Formats: sequence, C-alpha cells, structure tokens
Amino acid sequence: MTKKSFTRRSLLKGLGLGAAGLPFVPLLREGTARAATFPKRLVIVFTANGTIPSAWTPTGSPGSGSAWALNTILKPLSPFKSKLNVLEGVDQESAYHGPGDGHQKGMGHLLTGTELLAGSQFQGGDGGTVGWGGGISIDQHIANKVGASTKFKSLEFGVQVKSADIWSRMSYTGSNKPVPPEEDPYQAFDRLFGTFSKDVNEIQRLRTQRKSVLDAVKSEFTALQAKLGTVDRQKLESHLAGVRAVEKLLDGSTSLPAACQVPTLGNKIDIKSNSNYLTVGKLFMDLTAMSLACNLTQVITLQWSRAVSNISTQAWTGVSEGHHSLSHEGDSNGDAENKLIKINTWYAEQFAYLLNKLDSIPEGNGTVLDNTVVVWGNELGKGNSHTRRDIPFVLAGSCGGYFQTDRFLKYDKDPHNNLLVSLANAMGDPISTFGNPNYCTGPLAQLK
Amino acid sequence: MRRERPVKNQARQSGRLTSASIIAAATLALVFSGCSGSIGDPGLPGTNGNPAGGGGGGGGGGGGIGSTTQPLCGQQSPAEIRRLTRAEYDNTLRDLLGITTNPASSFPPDEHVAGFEVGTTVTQLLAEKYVTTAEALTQSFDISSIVPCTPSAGDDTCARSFVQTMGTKLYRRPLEQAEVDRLMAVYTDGKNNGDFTQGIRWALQTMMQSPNFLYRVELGKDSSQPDEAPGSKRLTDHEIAQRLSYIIWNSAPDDALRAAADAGKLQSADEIEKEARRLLADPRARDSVRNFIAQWLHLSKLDAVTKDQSVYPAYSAALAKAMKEETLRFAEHVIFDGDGKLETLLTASYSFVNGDLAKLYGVQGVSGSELVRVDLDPAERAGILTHASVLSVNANSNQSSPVYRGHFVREQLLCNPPAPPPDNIVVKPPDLDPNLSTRERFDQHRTDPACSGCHQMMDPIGFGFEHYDGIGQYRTEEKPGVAVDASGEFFVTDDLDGKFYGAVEAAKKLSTSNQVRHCVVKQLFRYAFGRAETKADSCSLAQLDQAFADSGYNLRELFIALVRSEAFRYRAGGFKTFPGSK
Repeated sequence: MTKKSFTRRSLLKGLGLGAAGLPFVPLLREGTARAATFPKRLVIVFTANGTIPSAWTPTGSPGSGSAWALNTILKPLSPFKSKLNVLEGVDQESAYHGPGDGHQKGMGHLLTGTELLAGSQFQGGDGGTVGWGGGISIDQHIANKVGASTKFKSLEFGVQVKSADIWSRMSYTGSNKPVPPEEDPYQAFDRLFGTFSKDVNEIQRLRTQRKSVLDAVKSEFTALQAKLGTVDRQKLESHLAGVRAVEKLLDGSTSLPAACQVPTLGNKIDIKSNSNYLTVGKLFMDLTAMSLACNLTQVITLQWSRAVSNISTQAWTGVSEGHHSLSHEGDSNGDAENKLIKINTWYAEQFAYLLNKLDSIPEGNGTVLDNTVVVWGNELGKGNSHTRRDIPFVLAGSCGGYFQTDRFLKYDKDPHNNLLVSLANAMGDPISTFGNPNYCTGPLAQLK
Repeated sequence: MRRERPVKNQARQSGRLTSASIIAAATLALVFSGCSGSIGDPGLPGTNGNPAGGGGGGGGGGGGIGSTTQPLCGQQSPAEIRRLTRAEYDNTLRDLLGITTNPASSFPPDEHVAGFEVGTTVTQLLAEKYVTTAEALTQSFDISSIVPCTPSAGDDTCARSFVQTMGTKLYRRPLEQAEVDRLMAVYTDGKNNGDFTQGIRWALQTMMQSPNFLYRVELGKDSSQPDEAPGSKRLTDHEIAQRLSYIIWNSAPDDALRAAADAGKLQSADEIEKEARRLLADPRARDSVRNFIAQWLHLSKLDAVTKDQSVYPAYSAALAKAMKEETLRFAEHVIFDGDGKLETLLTASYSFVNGDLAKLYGVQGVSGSELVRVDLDPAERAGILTHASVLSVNANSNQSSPVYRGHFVREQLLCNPPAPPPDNIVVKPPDLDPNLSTRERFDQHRTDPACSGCHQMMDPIGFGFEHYDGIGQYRTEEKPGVAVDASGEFFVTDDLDGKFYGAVEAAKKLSTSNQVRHCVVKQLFRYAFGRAETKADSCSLAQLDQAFADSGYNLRELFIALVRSEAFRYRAGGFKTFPGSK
C-alpha cells in the first residue's frame, strides 16, 4: 500500500486556507521537537466464536518478561510481546444475566457490561426474544469524553458484518441505540479524507450551502418533533445530533501531526466477496492507523464479521468449514480443534498487522502504538460451550505509559466491566464503575 | 370457497410444550422452558398457535374485514416512527426523480426487527450519508426535467410551484404554508449565491434531508376528533396512501394514489382495496413481494454462503445467484401468474432453472444463464423447501445439516423456533465420529436430556431432508454404502405431530397445516408493519386468518386482507412513551 504525503499547499487548501492567508498561518505540523503531549487512543478489535484456550493461553507462569511466552495462537504477536498484556480468567459476568442467548449476550455485553433490553426484535434467549443492547458501550462513553477536539468523536469499521441485528452490534451510544460500523473502506476514505483534497473555493461553497440547507432541515426536525411522542422525539433527536455533527466536518483542524499521510486504497474491489475478506480488513486497518496518525479521532472499533460468524477462511487457512459450524464441535474432535486454532492464529496475524501499522508510525520518542491501547476481544470464551467466561482478551500498547506491558496476567473470574473501567481510566476518565455496577468492582487489578 | 375455522384450543394446548410426550422425552424442565421462543408478548394468545380472536372476531357473519357493521377490535398497538429502508429510499427516488443508481446501497444495513429489515435508527454515519447523498444527487441532477414551468431568471413563482409539487410528492402529503416558506427561503439563498438552478438544487436537497421525506410519519387524524374506539386513531388519507404504496410497492404513492387521497377516497376498507388491487397489478408489486420472500426465506444469505470446493465443485457465486433467483422467480410466478396459493408455493414441482441449476436438479435440455420454466421430478421436489437455495443456506459448507433445516422450518414456517440453551446449564457438545451416518452423529441430541428438549423440535424435521446434500442435490446415499434414511417426525406442533418420510411428504403436510397458515399471516404482518405482533393485534390477526382461509389460502388475497385490517387503517391513539426510566 502506497502513501502520498501531504504537500503543505494541498493541506492548506484542504483546510480552507487560501494562499493569501499563508504568511499568517503558523507552521501547521507539530514538530517532534516541540515536546508535545500526544493524544491517547483506544482501538477495539473484535473477532467471533471464542478461542481454543489450550492453544491461546500463554505458556510459562503469570508474570512479566521472560516468565511467560506466547502460545500457538498468539505467536504472530511475538514482535510486539514487550508491548502486550494477555489476560486469562476475565469473565463477562454481566452476560450471565438478563435476556438473550449466549452469542447475543456475549456480543451485546462485551462493551456495555449491562443487560440487553427485553424486546421482540430478535429470536433467542430463554425468554424467547430480546431487544438491543441496554446501555452505552465503553468506546462511545470514552468518545463522549475525549472526542470534542477531533473531527470524529469515534469511528466504527466493520469487515463484512452484513445485516444489522443483536449479533452484529457491539457499539451503542446508549440503551437501544446501536451504532453501525462503516463496511465500505472506500466510503470511509471519502468520509475521512475527502475534504483534504477539495479546493478551497469548493469547501467555501459547500459551507455556505450546508449552512442554509441544514438550518432549514433542523427547523423541519423541530417542527415535526413537536407533534410526536417521547420515543419518536428521541429517535429524531439522535438523527438531529448526527446532522449537527455534519456541520463540523468542514472545519479544519488547527494542526496536523507530522506523520499524517493520506493512504491510497488502490483499485476498487468487491467488498462483499468472501475472497476479499482479508483485503477489506487490511484496508480498514490502514485507515485505522492513518485516522489515528492524522488525529481524526481517538477512538476506533474494528469488527471482523460478527458474533456467530460463519465466514470461510479457506483461502488463507485452508480450512473449508465455516467458523461457527466448526466452533460447535466437541473437545476431543482434534481435527476441528486444529482447524479452529488455524482460524484464530490467522486472526492473530491480522491483529499483528494492525499493531505493526501503529508501531511503525513514530510519535515523540515512541510510536502511535505506545500512545494507544488496542484491545482484542471476543463474544465468547470458547465456542462449543458458549461460555462467556475467560474471554480471550489481549491488550497491546501502554496507552501513553498508563499500563505496564509485557505481561501474562491471571485473574480469578474478575468481571470484564472492570476492564472497561480500566480502559476509561487509561483514556483519562476517572470513573470507578461502568455498565451494571452489580458486575463491577472497580478497575481491573494488576494492569497499571 | 372453503371456510375453515382456525384451530384454537387444541392448538394452543399442544403449542405450549406441556404435552405429555415431551415431558416424557426429557428430564430437564429448564431446557424446556427455554424452548418456547416466539416473537411478541410473552403470553400473547396465539403466539404458538392461533389467536383467540378477541373483540369483534373475524369469524361470524357480517361482511368480512373492514365491514362497517363490525365493531372495532379496540386498542391498536403503539408503533414507532420508521425511516425509509434502503429499498424504500432507492425506489422512492427512482419513482419520483428518476434516479436509478441505488444510492442507498452505501448506507448501513437496515435493522432487523422480528426477522425483517426495518428502518429504526439514524446514527451519525447514516445522517452524514443522507447529507452527502442528497448533495451529490442534486448536484448532478438535470433540474429542467423536474421543474414544472419554464424558468427565467428570478422566476420565484416557478420555484414556488416546484416546491409545492415536488414537496407533496416527496413528503407524501400536501405541504403546510410554513414548510413552503422554509423551502422557498433556502431556494432564495441558493439563487442569491448562484442562480435559479442552484436555488432549486438547494431546495430539493433540503427536502431530501427532511424528516418528512426520510420518515414515514403517521400522526393520525386531527386530534380534535375523538378516537373511534378507545386507543384507536384513524389514519389520514395520505397516511393510508403512504402505507399502501410502501407495503405493496416499497415506494411512494403515485399520482393516482395521491389523487385518491386528495379526494378523501381512502377511508373505507373497500376504497382501500380498490387501490390495493390497482397497485398489485403494477410490476412494482412484484419487487416488493420478492423482497418479502427473500427476507422470509433468508435468501440474501446466499450472497455470503460459501461451500467447500473439494466437496461441492459445482457450487459458485454464479450458481448461488441463480438459486436465489430461482426461488424468487418461482414465488413471483405462483403469486402473480399462478393460483396464488400457499399450498402451491409449498408443493409445486415446477420451477425455473438455468443451465447450471438444470445440472444440479438433473434436468435435461436446459443450457445458458437464462432461467426457464421446467418440471422437476415430483418424487424429489415439492415447492420452496426443496429448492437448492433454501437447502444450501440451511446446510454446512461440506455436508447437510438437519439442525439448520429443522430450525428453519420451525422458525420461518411454524413460527415456533426452539430457543438456545439457557444460561444455567453447561453445554458440553458430544464428541463425534465422522464415520457415522448423519443420523447417528446427531443421536446424542436425542439421548442426552440436556439437548433433546430443543433438538427434538428440530432434528427429526431436518432428518426428513437428508435426500439433499449441502447444496441441495438429490441423493440416495449420503456417502458410499450409506443409504439415505429420510424418515422424519414433527413434535410439538399444533396440528402436524407425527412421522413422515422425506421432504416431499413433509412439504405436503406443512402446506395444509393451520399452524403454517397462521405463521405465514404473522410473517407478512411483521414485514408489512415492521414490528412483532402484540396482544393488541390478535384481533386483526384473527381477521387475517379468517380472510386467508376464505380465500383458500391465497397469498395475493392475503395482501388485500392485510390492507383491509384494522391494524392497517388505524394507529394507536397515543404515542409510544418510555416505560419507566428507560
């Protein structure tokens, strides 16, 4: 993947600053010499169907440095071992409560830590049906805290997630408010970098037009809201918040980091084809890296497929069966286990690709990865039992020195809400509980 | 015409998993309690069987659905405002503005509600796409094709006329004065910053981003008029027109429908039926029915289904596409060109195949990519359940799947899927010997009480489909030397319990089952209203059951019954409010 560096000129144009303004514009790029504090970032990566704990759990003993070693599935992360925390024994305790079946709860609780809503939208669960997630997710919570200064409060990317349902949404702006990921990297590119290449006059014209049009649109919303009940009013309010957020998209940021480069995505491919699953994922990982480097946001989620994913990875792993079908096989089916290890190892390779991208962008004395915490989670611990205990969590990066790293940490059924609290703390939000407080006892021990 | 009362008491009893045979079949009551999943209010009469028609009831005397001699059912179910789905957005712009590029294909997918795609939420991502899409479309649009007068510079009268006519189309109702003024102000801004054309573009762009365009607003008749029945508010003519066109066409009302609404001619069920029949005769109705069939039968999953090439070398993306089109073409033919009957949909042995599909079905003399009508072997194929599409979706990548197939029948045709295991049991899947037959491999589902409660509802149905491999090819041996045993059995149904052999017999049984008929009614209800049925709908559903029976279970007529129903013509009196603090 090639990159094209900004010329200062195109950058200025992109920001809507004409040549006449040049003499008065301070140097836009932050020099590394300017002892800047760099933003902290959170990236959450999801893959589905649990893991094979015997091949995932690190070898050696819990501890740091040479005490532990990466096991088969996580071997691809070896180059980054010194920047990892591998967590054993963290449970999605909340996902043993409330409506929904194993996959539904595992997905809807992963980032919210609270019960799903009762509802009639989706089949499943011991009560018969279930609604959407019941609370805000940690990525959105953090985005609300740190997102005011960036162009996007948060970004959500999805690789062939497909339909919108309880199995496919982990991010929520609130109870009953799922956030869809962008599944088209080309659309995402236009959204992120489109204005960078626009002519200053074009930007100005668009700004004038949007001011007039969006003001009228907002009036239409207000007029309609007055005629509706509370549920509908709130629905329109969410939409209206989106319209308001559009207004700030044309605002130029005051400075762009030195490492900011516009990625080029190459020739368009069919983003829905199974054979392009990996390529789409890589494009999104490239966009993730550059969105952080360009400080377009501090919070990104990247979702591979969905809970109960039955994606075939045959083209890369040689495993012909769908992922979910395989994950139902019994423990002594060695063939199935080997195949699941292959699939999970393959996902670890992709996670390593992302870490490598982030780690190769210098920032201050370190890299973007050092100022980030990248979390890899899953809706289940293990596929065939649908357990939400012992979720295979991997953390990479210290989030600007907040977390210690190079450690294999063992827990005794600590609730994953505690991990969510720690993520918020690392990102500068001093909360002591998140999600349903019944399943939270404070930040996760040992991480700091 | 056949008149058949829907089964009531007996159905409800057996549908409740209280039947002695099931209790005997397992020991874990916990598992059973997890096995009565169905959409809607827990305890809603008829969720597992047929609705006990409350209120006016559809059965007795009096002129059928919508007759003025019948009392109203009573309170209607509260519903939320819905945004246009991606299909509705695209079709609306196609029909009103001639835009045929399907711009909504870049929007996030519509949310699933009760098994169907519904527009429920607008997030920042979608809000942005509405903005950028409207900007891009209006920028490239040939304005002269939609402006109803010859504009000269500064022709504000022409602009006003445009705003009024186009606004009425896009908002699906006449505009209020304040709305016209607001749009004219945007036009003026645009003109002042450019020219007349730019003014028109900006006004059009505003309309395309207005909630009055993006949402299907249903306020009901003027609130100064009392409700006809407590909790029931009649929809306005334009709201009725909008419901009609979006259910039957997935698109906005056309000029004739708008004219009927303007003239106040959409209040009685008979008036509505007249327009509905006109809409059903239009080709656009076929698209909407195909949309319903595709969602009901999970056909869009074929876009993503992959198969093990070493086991099924014949399977390809092109074949999957043909499979999907086969089922859609067949359903379209049954419903619009054939007798319209559910029984035909579930049992007919004719279908539409191209060269690849002909090979799969063992049909001679068809080649090329075009689908042509052929007769399949009636001993091997009976209706949609034996189509390669449904059989491929409900199978593993390298073998059949009695579990998926049984689950599909329970969920989509019986409306009574077993729920997954509850939290409080630990599932330990059996270790399987791959050398066993399909049936043997799933034996633990039968013998282990932790599994059998739910799997008894699925696997024995799925076993009946063992004559079809993972891509729907007919076979007599599941592997060399192992003959197919397609004996199957229905458990825990309203009216199907018992043994059968093979999918053809299963399909015949299903095709005359009242539970299936009622389930089809519910599926269409969910599709049409974008929500699960509730208690308040049981009266409307009973009316639909009766009308469906009266028509000899004609699916075309079910659409008519639907638009005559109270659930169609009325909305809840109040607005949906949040229960408690939620």
